[in-house]
Amino acid sequence: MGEFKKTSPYEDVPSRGYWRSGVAEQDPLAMEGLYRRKFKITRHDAIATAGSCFAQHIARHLKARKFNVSQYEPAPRGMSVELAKKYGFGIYTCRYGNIYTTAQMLQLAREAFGVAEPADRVWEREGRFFDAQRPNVEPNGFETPEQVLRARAGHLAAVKQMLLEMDVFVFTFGLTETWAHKDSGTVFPTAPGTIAGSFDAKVYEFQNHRHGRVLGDFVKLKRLLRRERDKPLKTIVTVSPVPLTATASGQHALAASTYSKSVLRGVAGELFETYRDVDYFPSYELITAPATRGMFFEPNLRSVTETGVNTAMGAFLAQHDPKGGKANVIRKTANVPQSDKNDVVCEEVLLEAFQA
Amino acid sequence: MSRKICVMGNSHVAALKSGWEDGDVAGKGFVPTFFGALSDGMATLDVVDGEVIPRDTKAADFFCKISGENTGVKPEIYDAFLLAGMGMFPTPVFNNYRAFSTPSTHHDAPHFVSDAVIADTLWEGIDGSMMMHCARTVRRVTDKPIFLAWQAFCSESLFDIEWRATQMQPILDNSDQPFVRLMMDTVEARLKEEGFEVLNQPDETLRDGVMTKAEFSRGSVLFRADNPKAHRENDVFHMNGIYGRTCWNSWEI
Repeated sequence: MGEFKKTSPYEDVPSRGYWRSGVAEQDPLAMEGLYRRKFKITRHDAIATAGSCFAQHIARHLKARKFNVSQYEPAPRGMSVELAKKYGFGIYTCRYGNIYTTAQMLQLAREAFGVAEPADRVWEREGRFFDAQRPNVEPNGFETPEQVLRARAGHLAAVKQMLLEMDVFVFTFGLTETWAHKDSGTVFPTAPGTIAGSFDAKVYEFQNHRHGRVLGDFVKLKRLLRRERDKPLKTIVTVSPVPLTATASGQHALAASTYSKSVLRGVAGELFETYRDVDYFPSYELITAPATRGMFFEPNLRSVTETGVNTAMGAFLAQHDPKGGKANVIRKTANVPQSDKNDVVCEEVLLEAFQA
Repeated sequence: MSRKICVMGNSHVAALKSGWEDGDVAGKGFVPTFFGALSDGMATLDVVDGEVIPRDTKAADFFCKISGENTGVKPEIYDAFLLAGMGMFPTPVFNNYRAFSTPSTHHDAPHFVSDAVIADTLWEGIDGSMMMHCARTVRRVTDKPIFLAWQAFCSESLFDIEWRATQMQPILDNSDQPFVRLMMDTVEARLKEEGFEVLNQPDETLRDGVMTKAEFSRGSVLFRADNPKAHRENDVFHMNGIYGRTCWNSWEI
């Protein structure tokens, strides 16, 4: 018998490696082989979630499967899930609202560990004062800046505890575009003047972070956590499939959104390739693949449908909870919160109000 | 000619009923008729053939019998309506005090939030309460005054119950009774905006602003038409006939 000889290096590529069998012929509601977990998550692991709007779905589905999704800033007893959302409770592990950029996540971690303090911490609107880093969690603000800072001190203590205690960190990359304080480099989750504060081109600038910056910020975050923590951390990164509501880049919204998501996907891929303790969950691909023909988007072609969310989370849970743990009964109040509804809190959508 | 007042509620109506029936309420110029249902029976209150009555058969039966009228409420014969109990109580303010401080409290707690967080939580509870269901049901059939009475604060004998003492003591230690009152005021403002009148617990029955003196709770009885028995030992929620009489003498209806 002669020695077997490959005629092509693609001979051994499994079917999932071919576009036709891996994508075109796949059922978009149950795409096989797209996500294969890098490590296990157990129900004893303390899971923390943060990031862009889409990350809210991950927390919700994990809680429904009785994973140990931590909650360090719970809603008041008796508060409904809907009201809790209005005040930013129960959306993520701490009450930080959406963290759209890696730069903001790094900035928050540095602030929580006392390494650095952001500038321009309090914004004002009509005589009320707001936390510039999470202006949406107190929709009516506080009476004084001091009250804002007192609330923030408590919040930071909770964030620090979360960062120290979590076993699994799920972070969803949302945007590359952000607004920053020129002098200090402090970044904000919303443009000044959108929810509170006021825009002054002499004080603030638009930034569109490139691959190097996003990757660098995430690596710095990893280093900071390694230095402060005394136990290993598993990280799952995802890229939000939700396009930009608006761009300040001067580009067409589609081009800007594609650029932004490409950068984020590139960073996620590099993190996945570089670190054994970083996994990438392809929610972006599951929602936006050509095989879906856009059916996972609402008519606004931006919001993800419930079917889309369920499909993406189905792929996640098929790997991390294949036997399908018993789903939690959805509670009426928010003490152990999460709504069974698909709606998410997303400040970015407020930008639509500025469209002429 | 005396005005006719329709009183409705759950078990907390017993204090008003026995307070009135015990006598010594003079010169008020009105006569109350007491309707009600036990437990959550009033949650099914509705307008049926022009009468206000619970849809639930058992509750409707009790509702008719307790008044002695053997009928539902015929709204047109009453000059005013008074609703009592039925969840109109600042429970979330007490429940959340230890975990949440606000700009209006004097204590340190794990979480510092705006007053609005607690006020909205309280309002959400009241808004969805049996009290508001009944008040809005009655409003559908009358434009006469509707008075909503806050449920009395718990008896000071709550200190015999460890977890309740643990909940109450910090409020007293930090002199934060005005915070409880402030939160209740936010509810009252919303109720008035909706066209309701609010009746507060008489001052002379209060202990330290957020409890009821034990003498107004001791010997409270069950809400029954005939020969009502006493509540269980150390019931801190229900008030007695003296409390009811004090309310009648204090309230301007």
